[in-house]
Amino acid sequence: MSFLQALLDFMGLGGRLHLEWISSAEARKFVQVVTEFTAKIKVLGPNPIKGWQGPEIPDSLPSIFEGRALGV
Amino acid sequence: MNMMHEIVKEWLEQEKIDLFIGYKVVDGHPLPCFFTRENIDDVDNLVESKARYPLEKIAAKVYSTHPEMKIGILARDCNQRALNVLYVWNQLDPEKIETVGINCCPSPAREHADCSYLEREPSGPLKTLIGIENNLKPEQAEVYSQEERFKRWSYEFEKCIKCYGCRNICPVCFCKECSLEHSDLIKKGELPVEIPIFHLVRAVHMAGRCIDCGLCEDACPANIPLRLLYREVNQITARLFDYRAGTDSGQSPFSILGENVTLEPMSL
Amino acid sequence: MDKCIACGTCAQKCPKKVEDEYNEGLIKRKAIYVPYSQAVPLKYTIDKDYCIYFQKGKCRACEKLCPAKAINFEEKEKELILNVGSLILSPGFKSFDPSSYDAYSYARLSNVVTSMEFERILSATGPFMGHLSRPSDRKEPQKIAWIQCVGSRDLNTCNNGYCSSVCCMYAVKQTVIAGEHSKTPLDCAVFFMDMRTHGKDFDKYYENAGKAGVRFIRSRIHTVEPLPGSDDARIRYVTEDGSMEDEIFDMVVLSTGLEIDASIADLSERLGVELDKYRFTSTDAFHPVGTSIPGIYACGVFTGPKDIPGSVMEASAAACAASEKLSPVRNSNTRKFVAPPEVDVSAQTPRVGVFVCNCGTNIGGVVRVPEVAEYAGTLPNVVYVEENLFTCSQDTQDKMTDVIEKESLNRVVVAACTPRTHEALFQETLINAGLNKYLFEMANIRNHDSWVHADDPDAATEKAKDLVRMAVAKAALLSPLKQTDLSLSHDALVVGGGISGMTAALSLCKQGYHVHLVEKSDNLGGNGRKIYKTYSGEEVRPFIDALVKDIEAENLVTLHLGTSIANVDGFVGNFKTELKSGEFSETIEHGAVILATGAKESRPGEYLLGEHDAVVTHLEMDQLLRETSPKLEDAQNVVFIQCVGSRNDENPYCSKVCCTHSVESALALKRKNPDLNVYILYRDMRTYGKREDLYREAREIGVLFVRYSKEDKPVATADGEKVLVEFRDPLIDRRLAVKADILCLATAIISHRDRQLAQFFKVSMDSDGWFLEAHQKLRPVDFANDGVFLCGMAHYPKPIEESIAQAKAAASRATTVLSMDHIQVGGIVSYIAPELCSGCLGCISVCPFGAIDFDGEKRVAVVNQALCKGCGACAAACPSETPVLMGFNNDELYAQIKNALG
Repeated sequence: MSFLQALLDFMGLGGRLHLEWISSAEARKFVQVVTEFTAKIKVLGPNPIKGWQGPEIPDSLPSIFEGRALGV
Repeated sequence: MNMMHEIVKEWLEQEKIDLFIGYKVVDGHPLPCFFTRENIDDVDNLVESKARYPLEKIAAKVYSTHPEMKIGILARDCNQRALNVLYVWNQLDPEKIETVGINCCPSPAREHADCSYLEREPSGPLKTLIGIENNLKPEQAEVYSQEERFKRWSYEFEKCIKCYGCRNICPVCFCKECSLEHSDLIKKGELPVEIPIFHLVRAVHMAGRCIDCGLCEDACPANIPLRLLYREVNQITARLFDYRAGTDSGQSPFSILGENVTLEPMSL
Repeated sequence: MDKCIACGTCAQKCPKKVEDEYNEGLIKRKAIYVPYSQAVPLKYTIDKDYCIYFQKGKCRACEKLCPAKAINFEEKEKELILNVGSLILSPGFKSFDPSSYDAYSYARLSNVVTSMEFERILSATGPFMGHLSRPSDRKEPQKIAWIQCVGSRDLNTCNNGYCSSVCCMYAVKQTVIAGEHSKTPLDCAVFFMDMRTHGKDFDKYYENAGKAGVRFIRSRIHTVEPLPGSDDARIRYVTEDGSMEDEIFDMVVLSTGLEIDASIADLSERLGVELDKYRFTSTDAFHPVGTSIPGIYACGVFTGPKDIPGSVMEASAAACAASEKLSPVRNSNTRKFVAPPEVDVSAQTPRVGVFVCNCGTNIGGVVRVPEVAEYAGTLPNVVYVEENLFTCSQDTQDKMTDVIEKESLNRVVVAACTPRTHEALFQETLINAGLNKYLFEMANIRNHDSWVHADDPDAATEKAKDLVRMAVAKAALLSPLKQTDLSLSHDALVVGGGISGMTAALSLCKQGYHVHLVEKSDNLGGNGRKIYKTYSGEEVRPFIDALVKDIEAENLVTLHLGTSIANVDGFVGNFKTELKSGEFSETIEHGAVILATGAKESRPGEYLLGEHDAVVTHLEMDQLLRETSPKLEDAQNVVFIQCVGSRNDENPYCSKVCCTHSVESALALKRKNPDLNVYILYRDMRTYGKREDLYREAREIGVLFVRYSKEDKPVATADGEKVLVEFRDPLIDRRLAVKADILCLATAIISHRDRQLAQFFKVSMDSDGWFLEAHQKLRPVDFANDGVFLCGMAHYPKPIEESIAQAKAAASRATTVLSMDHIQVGGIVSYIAPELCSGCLGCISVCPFGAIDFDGEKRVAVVNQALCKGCGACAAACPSETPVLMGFNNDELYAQIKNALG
């Protein structure tokens, strides 16, 4: 889980994954964890994966037809 | 005939190995080739080759159908690391493998380094502006903000044409059933691939496996900085679990979960 | 009682409040109540002494409001006469009442609590819902003191001369848990005399608590005073260097000891069972669960203070002893269930029936059940929907059986409570209706929904729909799973011919099973042969001789001396083990195995051991004592050094038996020659339980006890035929030296570290080399791998009576396998398709049950369904999605997830 957290952070999706061991006797902890995580996600905003509209290619660059020269 | 030819011939003649996997130039291209006792003069055509192929992957294929066969391999450092991984994952038997080591790694400490990776192309302006440059170190890709990182990586991933070249060339990819072709995980017949799931699935599978040979990136027609991605994956694995893929410890990544693994709750 | 569905309405409406004894009186309960939330059976009961109806003849509110009509005021106490062959007494203990310790102000200060009260305070089901706060003002404490040995090791205030064995460890545990529950750093101080953390892994836990900042202060507290003008308590104590300290604490926990209630003494008297002066059962070390009356057995704290693993072991041991004589009549009073034939649903399209439960008002009071039921009807594949007041009631079950048949349902979804408690019931109904029991799915709209969203009926109703939709989606994909019966061998293998192994073997024979007893040496007896006496004074040799004689005379034992294990194949019920004796080898078949391979006395290169004739180990000292060696006659000074090779970096555990062993030997020496000077150099005297009497006697008789620390160990140098032992006495802060005629070292007990045996039976070893049981507290003689059991010192160092108890426990547990007619395999297990497996061994490394083998020929992993517990670790680990966990396969889970997302 720490691994995935680190990987998602590297990709720009940091902070959106959380794991917590909570026993059935720890209702208070459950509420706390869920509340805190929800608040954190609200601050981070909507999932960028859903919002991804494709790359924003700047106009000032040479046309895409110049192909490999662009070094895509 | 050079020294390498002598060694390979001797091994074949003395039955130390039954098969040698190296390169031979065909129509001007260095290609992987089997050298055998039956056709021993062909060994004179064996070359080191600047081009690289996952020879150990070929060896593993041979081993799966002919487990008794003793195989010799021309091995750069990356091949050696890949062999170590394949031993750990039970895809090759170290008892059955002999290697002829050659100088290669793109390291300043090596004088005769000879590897396609040394000839990196510089990034073009578009990639520099909105993508991730292939020659970065993982730390350098972390200077961007979270939002920026996501945009830049998404740009890279969107170029993917789902050719599976990265997987096919990968020396440590050996599964008969690949998660990247699993219909429950990856939608079939759709492009661009699902961002970032497709590449993350592969990245996760590279954890504790990738030996940083860079063949995936060489093979990628879209020039996605895969090597950089998997380098980061391995750095995380090393940081969290102190596990380094491809070293000769023989330790499986599945045995690093701690010494007392039970499903029962932890004791007091 | 059958009608009660534990909805709790009665307790909610009951007007009478009563002190809640389960929560140590810290809060109130009602006159109709369940004793505690995990009570089995979970049924409400009326406390007649407080019920207004029973006391004043009016009220009956519960009767009016009970939705299940489960209240019956007419029910009378019944006297039952049971005809039984054996009787087991396990009356448990009572926590010592410290009111009599006036000096600790327990009766006066509400923030001075007993450890049992503190246990409730820490508990999530306790008076403060697990929120760490003190009783007087609910303030969160910053500073808590624990006072050890309250009502234990004390003949002044009470009559409890024994050590309660468990308090040191529970106090350490409480410091750690309190620290976890506290929002701010918590200052914990434990005032103790000797830190007795002698159990498996306990010492490490103690060390870690110290490293985490818990203060352990070696001091006996004499008073706890109120601090005028506050609710705090003040403790004055003398530190080890003699200075007086004064500290204020928010809370004080008295680590109260365990004692046997007077009412139990009455019961014992009626039964004729003899008790000792502390009201514990009085038996010799060779019969740890016996009593003075044949056929009556005892276990738990009743036989002497002990912790949970010890109690669980003794419980199994008592069960074993109680059933040994009864084995001829086993299963003579049981009935067999015959299931109707199973309908083949393979060619049918899914026809899902959904039963939505109101659970009285538990669900129906929050979730709009009719709306959920109506919604369920709109879902794909659903052909029948029904709403029930209680889906679990017997009449609904009968009706469900009819409906399944009438509507030709081939999948059933129950939207109600948790599968944990109710799945088996509904599955039984499916079986009765001729359906495969795995064609069933539950949606938990109570625990996961109505209970937690009681304040938001709209959202709860929507969530219930979501949960039902997910369950229906999965149900439609379910396929019937097969369970098949495997025959098994009823023979057992016992590895190790010491006291534990022989005891286990004989117990199994008495239950009627044939046993192969394998011993690697040429003699039976093991370490027991070298031990002089038990702590309770019985000589061990005659006992061993008798055991060996019994083994040799027993027809059901096949003895394999000088034999080792060369290979093991198979699994629970069907092991095939190759035994090797010299050139000769044979393969035996057995259904279960008990590992009783013991441990050994270490010989560390310390204190001139092996270099000087005057330096001996415990077992060597026992030999001198047994042979009344002249070496002892002439001695003037004998020195014992404790913890030689134990509780250090190499062996970070306590060897458990050595403190008592040294005290025993010291007493034996002193009794023979009262003029002899005996010194015991120790770190903590761990004479736990009734052994404390020996320690007291030794002090009274003049044995000198001097404590040393790990950092400042005694030094031994050769001095002619004698050994000069130098050490620091912390009480007078001076270095002392004794010319010892004999220096006896309490050397560590160490594991044989037989890794191969561990591999053969797929069991694991901890870092100290002890075999790792399935669960340290609750399954102390089982392994995670079925059919393999553990006893004696291979588990952890322990004295003879505990080894015998554990051996009987292991025999008892092995009997649960051996007594089966057949083994059921299959159901929710993993399956690996050979054509998809790449043979990378990943699943094999992560399987905690050793259930996956590698087929070297086909180069693929193969699941042994008899061992697989369906945990799914393999499915998660496999890089190529190959292992399929039946009943939880990818399709089923993805369908559930997709439906969860809308």
